[in-house]
Parts: sequence; structure tokens; C-alpha cells
Amino acid sequence: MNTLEPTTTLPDTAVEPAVAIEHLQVRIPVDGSPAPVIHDVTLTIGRGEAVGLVGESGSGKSMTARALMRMLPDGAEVHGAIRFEGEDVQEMSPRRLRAYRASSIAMIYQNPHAHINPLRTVGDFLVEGLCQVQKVPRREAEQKVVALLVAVGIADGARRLSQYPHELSGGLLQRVMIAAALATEPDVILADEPTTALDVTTQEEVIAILREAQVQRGLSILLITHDLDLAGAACDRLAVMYAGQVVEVADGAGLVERPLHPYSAGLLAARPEIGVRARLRTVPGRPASGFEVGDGCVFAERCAFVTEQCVSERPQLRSLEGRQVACHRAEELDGVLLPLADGPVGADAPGQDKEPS
Amino acid sequence: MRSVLKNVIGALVTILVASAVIFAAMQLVPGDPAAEIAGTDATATEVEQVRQNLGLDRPAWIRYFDWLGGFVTGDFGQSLQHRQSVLTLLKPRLGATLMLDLYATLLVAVVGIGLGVLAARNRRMSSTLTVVSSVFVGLPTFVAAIFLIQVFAISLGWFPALADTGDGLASTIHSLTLPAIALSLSWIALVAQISRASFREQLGREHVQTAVGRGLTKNAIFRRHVMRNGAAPIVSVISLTMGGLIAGSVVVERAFSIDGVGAFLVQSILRHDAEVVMAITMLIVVVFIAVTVIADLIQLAIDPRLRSRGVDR
Amino acid sequence: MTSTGLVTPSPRRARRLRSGQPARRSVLRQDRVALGLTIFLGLLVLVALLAPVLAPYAPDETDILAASQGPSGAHLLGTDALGRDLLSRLIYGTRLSLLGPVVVIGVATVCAVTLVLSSVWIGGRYDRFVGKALSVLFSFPGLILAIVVVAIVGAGITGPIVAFSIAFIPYIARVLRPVALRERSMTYVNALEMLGVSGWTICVRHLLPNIFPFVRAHVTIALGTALVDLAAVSYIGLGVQAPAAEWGLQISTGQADLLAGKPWESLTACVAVLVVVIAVNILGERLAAAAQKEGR
Repeated sequence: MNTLEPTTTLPDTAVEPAVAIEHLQVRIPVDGSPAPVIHDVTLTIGRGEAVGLVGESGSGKSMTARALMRMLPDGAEVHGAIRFEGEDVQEMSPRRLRAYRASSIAMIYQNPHAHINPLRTVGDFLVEGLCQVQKVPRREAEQKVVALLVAVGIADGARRLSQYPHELSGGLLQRVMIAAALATEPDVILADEPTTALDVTTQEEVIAILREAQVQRGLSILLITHDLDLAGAACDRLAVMYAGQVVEVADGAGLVERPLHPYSAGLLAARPEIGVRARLRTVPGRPASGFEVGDGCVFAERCAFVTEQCVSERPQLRSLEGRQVACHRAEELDGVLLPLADGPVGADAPGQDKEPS
Repeated sequence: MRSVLKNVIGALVTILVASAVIFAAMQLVPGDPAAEIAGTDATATEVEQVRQNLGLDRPAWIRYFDWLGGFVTGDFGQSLQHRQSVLTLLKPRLGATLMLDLYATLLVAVVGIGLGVLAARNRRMSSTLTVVSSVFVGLPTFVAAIFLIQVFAISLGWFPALADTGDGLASTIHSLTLPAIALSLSWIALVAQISRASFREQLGREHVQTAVGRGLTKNAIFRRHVMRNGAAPIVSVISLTMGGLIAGSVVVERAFSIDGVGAFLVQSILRHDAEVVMAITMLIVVVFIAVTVIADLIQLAIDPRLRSRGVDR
Repeated sequence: MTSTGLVTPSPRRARRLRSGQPARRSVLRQDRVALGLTIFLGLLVLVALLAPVLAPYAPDETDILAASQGPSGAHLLGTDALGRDLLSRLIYGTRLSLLGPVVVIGVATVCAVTLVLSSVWIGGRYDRFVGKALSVLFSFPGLILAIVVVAIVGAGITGPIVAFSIAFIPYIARVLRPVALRERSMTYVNALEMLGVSGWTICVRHLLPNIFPFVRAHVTIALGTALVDLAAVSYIGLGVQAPAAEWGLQISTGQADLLAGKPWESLTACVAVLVVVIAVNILGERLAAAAQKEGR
């Protein structure tokens, strides 16, 4: 079987999306009592679409991905719906859940050295999904993964099969992880900070491999990253997350050129620009985690445009000009946020309020 | 392969040092074997004649190398008490002790690791193990032996109180069951505790998350990603166990009147039979060091990182 | 009090100052079980000391007519094959059964603490040599060492005590070393060194008190192990010799009666060993947990 053949499936948003998450809420037990880590996540991934989930650490990105795999920590409380091609992931039987994990969805992790069993060969890891779950004969599985290794840029795949993970560099091993994810021909790939542990050139190659897999195989991809530029380059759409909530969803270019949420603007301002030797600016204040925020907007404490309403009432994600944003003042701030990328956050903005009371 | 060689050479050096220590120690054993053999009413010249015949008049270092050379070639010398070759005396007893120790090792490995697996996968089993094992870990071998004899040999009559290792494999195994259990109980508890902790630790590792995310069954995950990964501390503790079992079998052989190497060692010490004591302690040292080396080699076989050649880009 | 203690009080001393109570008592005050076990072990020592007062009979007083009897009004635990009163022998047995392990652990602890503190303090080649020697010794079963020593000095209580005093050094040293190393690297030790306080003074006045809770916990646990090992040597016939009263020996001599359906001698001695070992183990674990907590 030649898996390198590009599939003809094109992105098709008319039918049921590959993944639909609606008003997801997750609480996990911290010292015995449940603490919220995800407040409100609504997100769809179309078939063949690449979506970037962007936010700082602790914003609940990884937790969202884990919820999608139904791999939350023991004792987690989940509200809201997580659907894969219309089927509720929360309702799956143990057998169905294993089948779903085995062949519908695959995850690529940040640290391949920790996430691949160090005592088994690379070949064992690559064919495990095929041989153990899908019961493909070992020889056939090996042929398939060697071809996939070529596709991810490892030419001498056959030799690599008998090596151990510690004998491979991080970049090589991350390609192995991608090949392993592709081997079971899933519909959706979740990539959780797949390039964070890699050097810059390797980062670009890995992203290119993912992008190619998406286009050639009609894969849906959820790319989780804190790197806005990377997400913009690799994805069709971006979702910005803060403190357990999705605060803005837009296409990559739209977000960068005209952010609608103050936090998105802050993230844009904070990113380092190549060739500009300015002092790195950050979003003022400390990033909050899900269990720290009160009743109001999750970003209220750090927002330069905060009002009474922001503190008392949580804004919902709503549509605005073909995009989605969760901000009470999105219409007012439209266009005003743009210069933030060049000036100090909050300067010259209309209706600057005092400290939130 | 270099690390294997290093291990083996280290072991040989240790054995050599131990042999010198044992030989030197035995020179301190009180009593003059020549005088004893010559008899109480022998004259000084007769004793001297015996001494010459036995080669005991030669310098100690020559006798040491003589003895060591003999040991290496399987000649363990002559027992002066029994007037027989030590090897002849040891052979039948070696079989009984070997059976007992292997039986006990098997029990420790199978039951200990088995309980560890169950406890790592089941919360209720785990808390039961915590309570039960803390009692058994401290249980002295001879106390266990007495309790087992009282309950299973005398009250219930299921097993013999005096082990008979003579006729037939089945009856030997049957009569060695209580001794093996007495010998292994505290080690089973220890191995169960260690393996539970080790498997638990592996279950929390990232690579297990990866396996869960791939839709493997719990059994497959445990077999492929937990057992072998958690094996290193278990191998160490089992190698320690085998050393402990050798010492413990001296006690158990006394408890069940087994005519094994341990009982023979005690007997020979009380009779000042230096040749036998040297041979047996030397054997114990060799077995002991061999177990340690084998354990190290197993660790090498388990973990490819220990025999690594570095990153290959 | 030296002025050095005022400049940088050691953490333990600082805690003691803050809490306003002597730290030495605190574990037993907070932990009723530990307190109860300590009292129990104290009573046992008292039993050993007062054996002639407490025992209803002399330990070697034979009464052939009343041999191998079960418990009765005259003999609360029964009699052995020579008609000796088992309760009295058990009471007298506490003397040798407890004395052995106490001597062994006492000697081993002094040696271990000295070795650990000196090797941690001096470091370098000496430290590596001590570490290597201890690890080789640790891997060798103490019982076998005891047997070899008995072969030289002859059966009796001396040989096993000498052998186990050596064999237990690594048991204690192994646990203390990391604690002492951690303590050594603390800033207050550094500060004292810079003030010109001698290594000896720092070790004895500061390091030693600070590792004391760990020493106490592990010495307690090792005491139980030593008791079992010494009883085992007597049980196999190489330790305490008849007609002395000692638990391990009693278990051994009682075995003939046991096989004849009269288990009293062996069983009572077994229970005595077991009770002491379990008490000592639980106490040791409690003390270790407390030391761990305090060390943080």
C-alpha cells in the first residue's frame, strides 16, 4: 500500500465538522476539592482544517486537548459537549473509546524523549498502534512506517527501526512521533507544543511536515502552541485562549492585522520580532490560570479597557464580522487595538477606566 | 560488551580477595588438626609426621594457592573429621539446599511480583498489601517456621514437619513446601512492596500516557510499558533476596531438620572441620557474587540506555 | 551558648527556639502510639533488670515430674522438657535477648556515625573509600559473617555480637549519609566554618544534633533486625549455649516438644520475639516519619 499517494479529500465545512466542542467546562480535584481549569471552551475543527489553539501556559490549552482524547486526570468533572463527527466522546463505551483513540485521533506530544518508552525500539513504537490495536502483521506494518519515515524526512528509516529512542536527537524523534501518529491514519491530529523542545530550523521543518500531512491526507489538525507566529503560519484558523476560556477565534491573517480582543492584541505586542532589537514587551500582569478568575471577564484583571460590566459579568463568545470574540467592548475597540502592537498597551485608548473596584 | 567484561573481572577480583580472607580466617580456627588426627596418645614426632603427610608444615601462602587451585578445579580438599573428600560430603547436601533455595526464589519472584502487579492496578489490593506486608516484612524466618509447623504440619497435617528430600521429585517438593514458605515470607512482602512502588511510578510516566492515547488495552499497557520499565529495582531487590535466602536456609534447614549445606556448615563449625567450613563459605561467596553479576547483566539487558553508544543523528 | 549559634542558628535550633519546647520530647508528645511503644520497651528493660524479683522460679530450677506441661496455676506458661518454668525462663531470657542487640547496635551506631561524619566532612578519596567499603559489606549477609566469626572464636554470644556489630555499620551508615551530606551543605555550616569554628566542634555540636532524629529512628529499626539475627544464631546452635535462658535458644530446644504436640516453649518464645520486633519496627517507622517531617 502506498501511503504517499495524496488523497483527494478537500476541506469540506458543509458537513458535520470533525470536532465540535461546545461550552466545555472542566474541573479537576486540587487538594480534594474540584477547581475549574476550563471555564468555557467552544471550538470546532472542520474536516481537513488546521486550527491553532494559542495561549500562555496554564491557559487550559493542553487540558482541552486531553478532554478531546478523554484523558483528563482521575476525578475530573466535565460539562458541555465534545463531539467527534457528531458522536459524544464523553458517552463512548470503553471499547469504543479505545477504538476512537486508536484510529480516529492521534496526539503528538511536546517532549518525545519522555513520551516514547525508552526501553523499546523506535520500530516497536512506530508499529505499536498498527500491530497491537489494528492487528496488522508486523512485516506489513514495518513497510508502512518506513514509507512514512521517508515522508517525514527520515530517509534511512529501516535502520532507525532497530534503534532506541535515546540514540535519536529530539528533532528526529519528534518526526518519529509524527510518523507514528500518521501510521494509524487518524482523522484528527492533536499536536501539543510539538516544536517547543526543538531548535528553530527543526521547528520550521516539523511544522512543514505537519502542514503537508494535513493537505495531502486531508487531516484535521489542532496545533496547541504559545507561539502566535508559528500558529499563524501553520493554521487556517486561530483560537486564542486565556485562563480557561476561548476569547477570540479568527483566521490567522485577520487576527494579526486586526485583533478584536485586548488579550489577543497584548499577545501580538508581546511577540519578539525578527530584526527588531527592541526590549521584549509582555502583557502586563501575571497570566492567570482557570481556577484563579472570578465571575467577570477572565482577562479583567490585566485588561487596560476594563469596565464595571467586565468585572461583574462574564462575556460569552459571540460572532462579530465573521469572527468570534468574547469581549463586551469588542465593537468599541475594533480598530483601536491595532496600534497596540507598536505602542504601549492601553495608551490613547478611548474610555480609559480607573482601577476595577 | 565492555561493561559486561568489567562486571565479570570485578567479580573475579572480589572472589579472590574473599578467598584470601576466608583462608586467613580459617588459620585462626583453634585446634591443631595434625594433633587431633594423630590421636591423644601420639608422640610429638608422630604428630610431626602427620603434619608433614598432610602438607601442613608448608608456609601458609603456598597452602593458600594449593587450596585455591584445588577449589578452582573442583577439588575442595579432605575433611579431617570425616576422612572423606569434601566434595563427596557436599554433593548430596548441595542438591537439597539448591532445591530449597530455588523453590523459595521462585515463590518470592512469582508471588512477590504478582502481588505488586495486583496492588499497583487495584486500590483496595494496595491498602491490604500495605497492612499485611508490614507485618510479614519483619517476620523472623525461625518464627515463621515454628508457626507453619504448628499449623500446617501438626494441627492440619498437610505437610511433614521434618522435610524428607530423599525419594522422588513430587514428595521432595511436597516436603520442601513449608520450608520454602518460611524462608520466603518476609522477602515476598519486601518484593511486593518494591514492585508496587516501581510499577506505580511507571504508570504515572508520560510514555504510559502515550500508550493510553493510542487505545491500547490496560493489560497491553501494563505488559508493554510498565512491567519491563519498572523491573530495575525489582531485579536489585531479588538479587538481594537470593543472598538473604542463602543465609536464611541455614536457619530453615535447622527448623525442618533438612540435611543441607547450611546444616552441614553449622555442624562443621561446631566440630572445627576447617576444610568443610572453608569450602562452604567459599561456595556461598561465589554464588553470592555470581547472583550480583547476573543481576547487573540483567539490568544491562533491560535498559538499552545503560549500554548506550550516544546519540546518532 | 556560643556566639556562633547566635549568628546563624542551625535550623533545628531555630525551630526549637520558636516552638519554645525541647525538640527531643516533641515526637513522643505528639504521637501517642510512639509514646506507648516507648513505655512498653522501657518496661521490658525493667523486666530484664528485675528478673530475679519478677520470675516465680529460678530459670534453671528443674522439676522432672512436671516436665513438658501446659499452662497451669503453678506454671502460668507451662514447663519445658526438663520441668523448668517457662514464664521464668522467658523473663530471664529478656536479659540475653535484649542485651545482645543493644550492644550490637550501640557499637555499630558509634562506628557508623563516626565514619559518616568524618567521611562527609573530609570528603575526597577517604569518602570514596569508606563508601565503597560500606557498600561491599552491606551486600554480604550478616548471618554468614557471624557464622564465619563463630568458626574462629567458637560458639557463644561473643562471636555473633562482634560479627553483627560490624555487619550493622553499613545498615546505619547508609541511611545517615544522605542526611549528613544535606546538613553539611547547609549555609549555616558554611557560616560556622568561615567564623573559624573547628571541624570537630561543628560536627559534634551542630551536625550531630541535627542528624540525631534520623539516627534515633534508624537505630530503633536496626535494633529489631539485630534482635532477630542474634536469636537466629542462637536458634541454629552457634550463639548462646544451653542451659542459659535466651529466646532463640528456647525456640530451638522447644522444637522437640512442639513435634510431640506440646508447643508451649517454642510458641511463647516466638511470640516474645515477634512482639518486641513488631513494637520496635512500628516505633522506628513513626520516629522516621517524624524525622522526615521535621527535616523539611
